[in-house]
Amino acid sequence: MTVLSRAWRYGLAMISCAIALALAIPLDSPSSCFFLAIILSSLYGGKGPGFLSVLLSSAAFDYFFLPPKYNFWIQSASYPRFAAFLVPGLLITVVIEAKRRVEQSRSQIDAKYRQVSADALAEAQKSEARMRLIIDSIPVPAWSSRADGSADFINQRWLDYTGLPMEEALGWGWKIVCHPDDLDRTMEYWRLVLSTHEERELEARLRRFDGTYRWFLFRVSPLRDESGDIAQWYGTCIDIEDRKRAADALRASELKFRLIVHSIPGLVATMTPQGDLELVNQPVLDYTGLAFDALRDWWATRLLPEEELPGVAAKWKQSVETGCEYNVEHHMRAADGAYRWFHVRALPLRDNQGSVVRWYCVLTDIEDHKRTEEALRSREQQLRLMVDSIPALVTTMTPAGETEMVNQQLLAYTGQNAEDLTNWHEKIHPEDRRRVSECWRTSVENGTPYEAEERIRRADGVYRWFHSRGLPMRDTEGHIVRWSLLLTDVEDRKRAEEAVRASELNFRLMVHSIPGLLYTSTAAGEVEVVNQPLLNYTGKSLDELKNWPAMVHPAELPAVTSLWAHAVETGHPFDVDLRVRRADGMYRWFHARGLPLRDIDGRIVRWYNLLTDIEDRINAEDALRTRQRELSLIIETIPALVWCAAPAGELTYVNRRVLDYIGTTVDTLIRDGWTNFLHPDDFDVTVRSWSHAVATGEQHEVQYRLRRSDGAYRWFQVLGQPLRDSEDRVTRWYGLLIDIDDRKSMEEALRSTQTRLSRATQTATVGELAASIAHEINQPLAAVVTNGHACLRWLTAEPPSLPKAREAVERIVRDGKEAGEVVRRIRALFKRAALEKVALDLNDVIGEVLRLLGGETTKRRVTVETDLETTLPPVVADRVQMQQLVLNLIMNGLDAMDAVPCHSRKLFIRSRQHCEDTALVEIQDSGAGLKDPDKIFEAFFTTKENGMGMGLTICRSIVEAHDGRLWASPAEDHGTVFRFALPLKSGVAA
Amino acid sequence: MKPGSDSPVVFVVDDDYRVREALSSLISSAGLAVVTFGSAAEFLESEKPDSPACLVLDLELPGTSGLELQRELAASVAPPIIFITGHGDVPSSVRAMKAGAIEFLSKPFGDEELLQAIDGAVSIDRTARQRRSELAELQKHYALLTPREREVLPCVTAGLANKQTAAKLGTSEITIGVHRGQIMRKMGAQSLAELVRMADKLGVSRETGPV
Repeated sequence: MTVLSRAWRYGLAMISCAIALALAIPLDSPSSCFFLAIILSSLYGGKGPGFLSVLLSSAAFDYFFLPPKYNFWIQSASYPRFAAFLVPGLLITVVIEAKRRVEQSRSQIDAKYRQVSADALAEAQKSEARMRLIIDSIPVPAWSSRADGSADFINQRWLDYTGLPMEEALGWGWKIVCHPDDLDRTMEYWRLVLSTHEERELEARLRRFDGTYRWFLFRVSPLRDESGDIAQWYGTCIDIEDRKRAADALRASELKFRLIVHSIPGLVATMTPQGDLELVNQPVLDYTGLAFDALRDWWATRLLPEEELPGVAAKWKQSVETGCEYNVEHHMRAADGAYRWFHVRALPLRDNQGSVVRWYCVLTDIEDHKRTEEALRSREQQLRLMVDSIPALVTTMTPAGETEMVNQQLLAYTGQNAEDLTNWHEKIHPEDRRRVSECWRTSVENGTPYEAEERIRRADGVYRWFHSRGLPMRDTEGHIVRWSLLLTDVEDRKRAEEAVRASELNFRLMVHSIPGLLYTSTAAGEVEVVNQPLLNYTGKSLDELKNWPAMVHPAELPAVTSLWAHAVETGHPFDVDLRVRRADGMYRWFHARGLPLRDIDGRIVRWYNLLTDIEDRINAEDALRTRQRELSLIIETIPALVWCAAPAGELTYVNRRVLDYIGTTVDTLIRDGWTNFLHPDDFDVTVRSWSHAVATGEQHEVQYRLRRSDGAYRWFQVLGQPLRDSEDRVTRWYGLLIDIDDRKSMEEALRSTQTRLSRATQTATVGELAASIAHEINQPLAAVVTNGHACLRWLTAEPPSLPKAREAVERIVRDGKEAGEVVRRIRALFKRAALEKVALDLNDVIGEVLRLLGGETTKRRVTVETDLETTLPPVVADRVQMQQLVLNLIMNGLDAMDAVPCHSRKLFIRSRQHCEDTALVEIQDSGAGLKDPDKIFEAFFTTKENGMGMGLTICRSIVEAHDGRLWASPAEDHGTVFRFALPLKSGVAA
Repeated sequence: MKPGSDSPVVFVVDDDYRVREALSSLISSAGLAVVTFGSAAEFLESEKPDSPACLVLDLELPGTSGLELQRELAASVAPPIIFITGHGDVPSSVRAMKAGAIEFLSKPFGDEELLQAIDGAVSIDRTARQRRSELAELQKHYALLTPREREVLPCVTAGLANKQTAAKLGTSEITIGVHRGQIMRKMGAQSLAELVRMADKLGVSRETGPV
């Protein structure tokens, strides 16, 4: 809005208000006047002026008409009135404003509309003009026609083509250029278009300016007006002559193609790019027995077996979608209902843009092929099974030598997969590898069959021998196509071979090692084969040995020769002892034994002969014989009587001496019994001992008197020993009788001498002891005398002492008794009573003797120590003899210590029980010791100047008479220990 | 029994108890004190009273014999010994007597023999004791002498004049005279003769002759 207009409008408002005021005052109708003013202002001024007028009006109303008048103040009673004025005023303004706005807009729209229409019209006209321009310029014939179909404009191109002038063509004039054949079609088309108002196409021929007809594609599109009716039709004609031609050609070729298709002896089908069946050739129809329509829904019919259908359909779908080649094998049902295998291959035909125009599909009957394949496969399967089951390892290799196929056995044996077996070299035993590769390489190079033996590793690591044989397989030209190898397990065979070889070796060794000379001879008796020992022994070769008589000792040769000849003739085994010459010329005895080997018919094939060296045996036999002779000589000669008895006890042999002594013959002796010649007193003892010996096999030892030929009896000691065999049984008794008669009498003499001697010694001992005895008695005696004197003195003292005298006398009595005791004991010691063996305690004896010798030991300054076992059981012995024994031993000990310094003279006496049945007494001195502990017991041996040397001898005989033992041995430090052991009284427990 | 230290004691050593008892009885009947021992060792170990004594000793003793004991005792002051023995062999007796035994008796012996022997032994012992005590007295006196006086003494007892003594010892006569007087006084001799006797007892040697 311009400033001017604004001023005008607002001015209008003011003026109108003023006028209203001017009118109102005289009329006294403010409301209507002011309302009028407001209306006018609003209506012609607008919003602003409207409100201005309202304001002015209200103010004026308020000032001029509302009490208090001429005042802007509004009293409260006037409120409603003011309000009744103001509000409508405002309302009026507002309403008018609103209305005005609507009017304004409407008129605006109308104006715009008109503008638009005008513009549109102008535009349409302009565009039409432009259109015409375009139509003229586009490089195709184009035209426009009215709604009824008559052309109202034809472009230049059209005109140029047809050569018609525009005026002729317009309307329906163009029809003349249509081909007469197409005219009807064209009109029909046009009619359709006009009626349906649809865009359509038409192909029709149009005549060119030169009279030729060309095909065109007619396209029309309507132009609608505002009401939607068709205003105009616009059309183009596109020259499709070439295309048509091409299409024709295509069609022609298609036809040709179709023909071909129908005639080729194969099932052919074409599919639309979408995958629907378009065309099938006759063979298809013939084969399936279905019509084309039926085939169209090929998936719905039972053309394909149910199980294959989904897969095939899917694949087909995929191919259709992707445009990839379709290549599938499936069954198809023939007219007779049977299903046959077909190989279906479909290729897409693409246009220049690459989109699929059509699918061409060929179905090849491969039923037979498949059958053959099946048969082949099953055959192959069978073959494979065979190959896998034959009990050998089979493998084929390429001509280059690489593993191609391995049978199951091979896999199972090596425990590996086919892939791992490519390096078969590893499976072979390291030692064989080189040989095998050599062999293999030779075969592969030369094409010769391959044969080798090698060890192949089993799954568990064990190597086994295999014989492998390989043959090349050649094609028609002779080139090697494949190597087939068969490996047979020869482990067992090899093992057997080994065993045989080993045993053969063994036998060979045996033959050559046996300690005998072996040779074989022919049936005629000629030496054939000899073993090594025989060659070694004779030192000759086989050839030389053929002349065997030269080897035999001349002495035996005649016998041997005849024997051998006899054997060869009769075929009996022969045995002979002969001497054979050794390499060094010596002859040795051999036992020759020959056995014939006969064949089935009983003819002798060969003689097997063994020579055993019996030289040593012969020698031994000789030696034995000589020994035997010597032995019997000895037995006859020895100065003893020898006899043999059977195990049961009867006499089997006596030597010459026995017979001579007794003065009888063997037969008589055996017949009468040898016991006849025994002394009657010795009969029982002897027989008893002999019976016991025979029964128990224990040694028989006894002394008896045997009667001599002259009747005298002589003492003999007999010793009978059994001879036992390996099982400890007595096989024979050997006995020896020794003449001890002289000895016995000597013993007697000796014993009696000894007894006499011992008596003499006793006496001597008594003499030796005189001094000690004297001392022993003297002591109490001296005491007695002194006591006597003392007594007298006591009695005569001033004053006399009776008690003291009494005491003295009492002592006299006591000591006197003791002296008497000593005397008695000594007497008893030397009494010559007969041996009286009683049970006595050795300790008692020892004590008595010590008491006796008390003075002696003191005189000689000897310290006596005793260790007597109090629980010593008694022995059975003669008291006197025991006393003498102990006395002698002690005296001996004392004597031994004479040379020793006084302070180290010690006598040690000990008694104890030894074992279960023996009492042992030891008497040890600390003298110089003994040089010869045994010699001292000899009679008349003494180291003392005045000694007789009988003491110890007597001691020993006493001890031995009591079945005891006396011996001496050096003491620990120095000195000697005399020990004697006596048997305890039997029956007394320890 | 007589009391006092002068009363004699008899020691008996014998291993036989009977003999010991008998002897003990006998000797006591004679009015003498008696002590018995079973062995030489016992005797040596015991404490002996200071009074005249004698020893009745058995020849045969265990351990140390009688003769051995005698030899041992000879080394010191010991009572006189009377040997008794049951054996009575000559060689032993000879040896015993030579070694200084008073008596050698063989068992059985008479009481008189023994008692007389004992008496004799006791008196010998008494005399010996007296002499010993006298000697001890003299020695006590002698100990009072100065070394010089001890030098003078032999000259004096030799009868040398003071002048000679002086000349011998290299002093003056007067000094000698003084010494002499001292000697006489210390020794307690009343006269020269007495001094000489004393010197003899002491074993002081006499100087020979004048210079």
